[in-house]
Amino acid sequence: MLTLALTLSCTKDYVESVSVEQQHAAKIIRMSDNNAVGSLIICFDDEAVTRVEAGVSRSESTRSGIASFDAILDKVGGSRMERVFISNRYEERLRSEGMHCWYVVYFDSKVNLDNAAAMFASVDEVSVVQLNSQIESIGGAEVPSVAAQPSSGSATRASKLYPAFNDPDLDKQWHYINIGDTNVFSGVKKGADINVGEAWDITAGDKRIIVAVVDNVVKPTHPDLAANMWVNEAEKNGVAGKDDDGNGYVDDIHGVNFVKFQYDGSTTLTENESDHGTHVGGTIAAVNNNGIGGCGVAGGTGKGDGVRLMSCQTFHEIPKTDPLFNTWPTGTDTGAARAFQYAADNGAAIANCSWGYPGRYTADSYFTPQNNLVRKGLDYFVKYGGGEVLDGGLPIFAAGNDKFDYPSYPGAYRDYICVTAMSCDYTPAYYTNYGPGSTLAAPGGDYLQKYYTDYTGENNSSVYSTRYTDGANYGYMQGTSMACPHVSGIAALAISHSLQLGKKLTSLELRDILARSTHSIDQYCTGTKHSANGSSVVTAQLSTFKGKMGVGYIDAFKTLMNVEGIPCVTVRTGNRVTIDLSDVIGGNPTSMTDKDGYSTISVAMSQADRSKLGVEGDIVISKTGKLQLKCTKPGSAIATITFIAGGNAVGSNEATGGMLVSCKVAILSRSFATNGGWL
Amino acid sequence: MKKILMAAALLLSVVTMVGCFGKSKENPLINGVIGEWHLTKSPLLTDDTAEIIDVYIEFKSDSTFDLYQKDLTSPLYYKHYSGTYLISDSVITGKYSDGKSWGAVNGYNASINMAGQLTLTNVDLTDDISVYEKKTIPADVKASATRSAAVEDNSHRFL
Repeated sequence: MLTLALTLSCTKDYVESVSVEQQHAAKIIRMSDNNAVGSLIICFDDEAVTRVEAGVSRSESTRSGIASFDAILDKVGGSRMERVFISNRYEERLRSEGMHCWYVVYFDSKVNLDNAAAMFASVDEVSVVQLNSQIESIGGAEVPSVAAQPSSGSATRASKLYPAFNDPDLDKQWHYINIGDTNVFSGVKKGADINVGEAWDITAGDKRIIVAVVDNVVKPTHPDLAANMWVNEAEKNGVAGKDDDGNGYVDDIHGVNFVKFQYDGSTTLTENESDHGTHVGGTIAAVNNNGIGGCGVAGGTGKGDGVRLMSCQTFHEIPKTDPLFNTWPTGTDTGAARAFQYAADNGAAIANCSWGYPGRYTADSYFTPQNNLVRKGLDYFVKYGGGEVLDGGLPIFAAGNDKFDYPSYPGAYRDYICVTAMSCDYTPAYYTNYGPGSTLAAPGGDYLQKYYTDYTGENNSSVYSTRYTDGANYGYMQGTSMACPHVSGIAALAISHSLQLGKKLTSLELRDILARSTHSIDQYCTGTKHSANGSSVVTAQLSTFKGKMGVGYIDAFKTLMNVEGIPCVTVRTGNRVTIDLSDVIGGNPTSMTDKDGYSTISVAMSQADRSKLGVEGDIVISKTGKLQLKCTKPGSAIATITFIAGGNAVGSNEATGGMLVSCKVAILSRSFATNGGWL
Repeated sequence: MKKILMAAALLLSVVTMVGCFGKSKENPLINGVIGEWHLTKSPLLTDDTAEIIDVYIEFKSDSTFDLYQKDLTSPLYYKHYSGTYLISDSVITGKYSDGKSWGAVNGYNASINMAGQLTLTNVDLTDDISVYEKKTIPADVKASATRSAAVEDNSHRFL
């Protein structure tokens, strides 16, 4: 009897113990295997956070005010805790979004993270414990580094690619305007670019638009960037050491170094380090028509009208020899989340994010606002970003350079633009990630095709932009990191054009415009090309990429056309007509069909509109964008076309997938002349 | 003599009547349509399309016309078309300078009401009724049409 009682007792204890541990374990979030040591992210529940705020203010940020939590802090050698999202002039909206509940705690870096996370998760007042994941700047493994090449000088002459601009190195930037120059690559194909020349005829930027480069530093003193750097005038003209504009940061003139801020509270951008951010920034907005270097997609016309670059430094390369190397982890969730808050609070419209989480995540459930700090920051940016020029902010992500058939998160998340990389001959770049969750492609360059086909080590088939290292101000790099800022630059041009038209887009409208301003890339996904497997050269089958690079490669001019308004198509009354909408909705809205073979693109028209036009029979649209209908009456109506960008299903909590894009098209039924004339 | 005078009077009367008949055959539309017109009503003009569709026409006395219409693919700009027209009875037909006929190949029944509005009804599609009012074509519309000519040549237009 006694034995039985003990057994029951033990069993009971065991069951309860497992249950509690499971509950605690469910609070712990891990986004990657690379986590910053010596810190954890904690989200307190709503009721507890008031006590925490009192505790933090009482004890110089070393106590939470919750006894059980503070006991754990003591055990792990807790040195400090602070709010992730910085309190500033927008405190009210931060609190309304629950962002005041997120804290980062710092403790002894030798403490096992899993053990520490389990302990903090056992506290009732803690709702989430997130390991402070390290995000990966997408320079990419297996992407050969290429030496920077010096500028060809400062001679002022018209570019042969775009004669209105005199930037001497523009002629190296095939990724903007590709004229089929075989110096780039023997197999180069004219037109494999972003078609920015025709867009520049309309707009080359607007200084009211701010693009946040969430990356390592954008060198603010670079001769081809300085004039287009965002300037926080209040701080520039304010008192040193004081937060003159009340944004929560001191002396942030061109942006913030969030790595340094995390550790010593300073905001100083570190100019003398890796040039990934400087290269990315140059692609977005190197100053155009200034007689030096190359161009930026939205770098203006040389009259001070380029878009402005805000450097949100979330990576800070510390040499291994530096004693801080192990204690200043770079590129963490904390820094990225703060960067998005900063971008929103200081008026950025676009956030260029050439980075992602390493590792494979196969469903959007890994990236919800309830369980991920960066998502929380992103949601805030999407809601409150945009400044005066866009209603909400638009983040744009790189897909990653791992050759994986899935892109990295956050880009893979269904709501974000995720950019794959195209070569100068329209083929997928050998390194690019692809697959469901990839939205569209842009030029990212391909070093190997030049190296192994032309047998030259020149980098001309990579992307040319501003750099810092190796003593040169310009050079080539390749990667989805380089593709991504092409799209950010085009997004900035789109906003610029919307301002010309006197309208303010929402970030969702802009996102959908970008997603349908593409040309199909699938026809180039045949044959083979050189690729790499570690240090070995291998042959890649291009058919592998078919239908998986997103909806196509982006076109800057088409983007501006789509900004201008609801696209119209004219149909001749009385005839059943087929209209090619591929130029309106992208060349390859979806290349896949569902398991039953049905297209994942659809068209809808209200019954009232159908009656107005006297539509006879079905209105159908093919997966290649061919719309067919018959109108028996003159009139106009709106058709709504919906498709999935990047996959055959929308991303969900169960699986990574594409983005749902919708587009309105005005159908004008009348006897227009065959040349489009009204009469 | 009296008979001769009567005959002469009758002849004069006939001549006069013939003259009157000749004058009455001059179609009032011919002079009526001359001028600059702005489209104000059409089955295509709705709240959804008000920003997209805008049309001005100038009918000239030398039987040529100039048409300015918003570029459906780029509503910032107008397109400029020109050509010739012909009025026969109440029907107006026309051809563009590129040789293409109007979309209403059999023309429009035209009428001008007391308020001075010009109504064009497609002969073959009687639901297609457009109403125009006299209005000077704004200078910026004409200037924009110059801009659109360059754009028009662009092969990347999406329609």
